[in-house]
Amino acid sequence: MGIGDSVESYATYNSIPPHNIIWSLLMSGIIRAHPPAPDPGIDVATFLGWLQKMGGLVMLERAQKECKKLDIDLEEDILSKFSPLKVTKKKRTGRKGTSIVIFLEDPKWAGAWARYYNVNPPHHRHKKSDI
Amino acid sequence: MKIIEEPIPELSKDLWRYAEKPYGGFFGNAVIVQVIQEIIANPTEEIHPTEMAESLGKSYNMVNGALNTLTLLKFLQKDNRDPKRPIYLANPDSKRLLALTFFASAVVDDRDGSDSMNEEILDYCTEKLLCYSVPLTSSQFVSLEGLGNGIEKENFVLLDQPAAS
Repeated sequence: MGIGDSVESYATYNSIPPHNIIWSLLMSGIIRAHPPAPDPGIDVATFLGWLQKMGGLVMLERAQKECKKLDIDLEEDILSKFSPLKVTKKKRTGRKGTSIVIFLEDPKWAGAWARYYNVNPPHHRHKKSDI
Repeated sequence: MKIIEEPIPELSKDLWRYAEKPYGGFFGNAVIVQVIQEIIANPTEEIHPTEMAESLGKSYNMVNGALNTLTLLKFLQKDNRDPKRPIYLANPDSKRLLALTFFASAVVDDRDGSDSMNEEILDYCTEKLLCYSVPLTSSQFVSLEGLGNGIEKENFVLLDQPAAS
């Protein structure tokens, strides 16, 4: 079933009683349909989710720091694999000189994989410790 | 073999503001807005004032003040187990945290014409809000328009609303 199909026709086709609690489980499954390739993997998806929430544009040094936290390499794991279609390096020349930024070219793809791997949703509890 | 590096393309000027100000300057550029953006981008991570001050290039006192304000507003929770090194955590029950998460995607959507916010809302609805709904019988089928992404017909109704007879 694709995201564009109606839920009603899906339930009818699969002979699932739509009044059943299974319905809600099915709904979750439908929404978690496989996002478009390429699959970045969970660590890069975490970075992409972060980058998207930062406005899809951060300074190179900030991106490198975030990658370090996730134990991934910005050049090797992200730019060499997903540039120029998904994530790119751009330069900004202003009065203060030139700086390099990391730009998310395809936020739809990034968001889809971040949701697929369920990384950092705000309504989830904390990773390390709860108060 | 000589490796020729490709030239780095120039960032268009209308995008500069997104690199300089949180949310492109929608809420200004105050320290508290920068702190909020960091929290929204990484809501499950522990926040240490010293690290955040270093990351934002701001003074410890400014960042700590912002964190305390956000704690008073119940946007954050403060872990005081070690009073010398307090840790802050995003409050996962905060509706403002959730709303600003959708807002962060809306900023990119409005700029780039993407549709991430609607997909996130749909994802949230199926994961968190289905428990508030009960299925209707086929004779009570109702149509809820505007959810988008193909799920335009839902045979659910909110529990606190009387089902159509």
